[in-house]
Amino acid sequence: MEDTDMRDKNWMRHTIRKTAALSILGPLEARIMEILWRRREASTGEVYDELRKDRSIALTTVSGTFNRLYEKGLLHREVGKGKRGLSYVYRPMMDESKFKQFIAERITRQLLKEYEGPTVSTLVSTLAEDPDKLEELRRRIEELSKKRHKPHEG
Amino acid sequence: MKDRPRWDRKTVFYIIALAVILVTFTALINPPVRTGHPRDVFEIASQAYSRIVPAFLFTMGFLSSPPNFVFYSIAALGILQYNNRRIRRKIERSCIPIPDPRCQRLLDDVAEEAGVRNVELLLLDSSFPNAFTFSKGPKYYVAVTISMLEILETDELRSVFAHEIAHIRNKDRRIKILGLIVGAQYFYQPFVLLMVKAIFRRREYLADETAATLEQTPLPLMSALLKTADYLRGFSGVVDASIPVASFAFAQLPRTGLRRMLSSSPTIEDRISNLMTLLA
Repeated sequence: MEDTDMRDKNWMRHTIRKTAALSILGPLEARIMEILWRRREASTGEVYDELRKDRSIALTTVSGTFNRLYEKGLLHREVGKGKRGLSYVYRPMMDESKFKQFIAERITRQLLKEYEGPTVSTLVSTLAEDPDKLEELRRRIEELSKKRHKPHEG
Repeated sequence: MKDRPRWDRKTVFYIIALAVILVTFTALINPPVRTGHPRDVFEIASQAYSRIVPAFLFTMGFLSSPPNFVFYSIAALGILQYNNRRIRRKIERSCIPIPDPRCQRLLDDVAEEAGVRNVELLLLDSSFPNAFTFSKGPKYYVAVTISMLEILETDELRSVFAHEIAHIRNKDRRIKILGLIVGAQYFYQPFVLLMVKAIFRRREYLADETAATLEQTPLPLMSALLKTADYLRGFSGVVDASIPVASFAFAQLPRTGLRRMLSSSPTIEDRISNLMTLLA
């Protein structure tokens, strides 16, 4: 029985990774976003030079990944003078905290849409492991319900 | 007794309907561009329209008397020329105003070596790595996208310029216009269409060979082609439709089967294989 539960949990974890997280950012995309948040703006060549310090990578791969991030609406770009002449200079559309909020919201919404019951129970049971977090969740739920009921009371 | 007209209205209508079906079918199999962006729908439609209408006009001229043939041919050429100008103006308007002296110098060097004068560089804002050439009066323009500048090293970029200058030197623009006219006139002859496409592909190989001769080595051009193919393998962005009808685009999205046979450009892999024969 325990084995079956474990298998189910593993399958669930795998599915979540596949459908939610990886569909938003791949490993190279995440690394590029990290560099851009740190530098605020950078050209393809500058990011390529930084990535090359850690691993062997082709410039076409970096440029293609930048293009994908731009197509996803996560980057703003304009033509500027880079290290290798004229090049696209990219800037993140949102800072790291806003992006994390955006990803968390998107994943949670997707999970609630696909597996509503298990997601709510997992969320509550995970938060219940830490009493402070559970208390915060209760407080936020109360705040939200007060906000919702206010217009009817008036 | 009055002579019956050679072609009554019904016959002409059927011929036009057949032409529409044939040209639409060809355009569907081998669209001028593939794009996922709504703003390019108008561009694709207008490009297809500018090919279909001249074909109609040539057919009408072909079926009527010699004076009418001249009239229809002039009208067809006028439409081709109008579309060419419209795209040219669009490119001139959308090009990046920031000058790049390094690239312009590189282009001037290659043009001088090839004996071509009056060449200006235009930079285009596009994620699709591409280059092409067109002319306006006595002046030639070599347009290159920012993505192309990004992914290529100096010697590779030089070889791409050499390829574009080779198109100018080999007078490929005239051959393309002539081919388009012949293709429009004999659009109902599949053999003629395939021949025209094969000639266009041959001109592309010839431009590669001329570029390799100008650069004294095909290696940088092969490297540029490999990088472009590598970039396009995972390409998910917008393919800009704004390329003049008489131009030869440096890069094409991968095509297989019937699309490959009907394409005006050889695949990048075929071009690399052709350049490898020069190394032997």
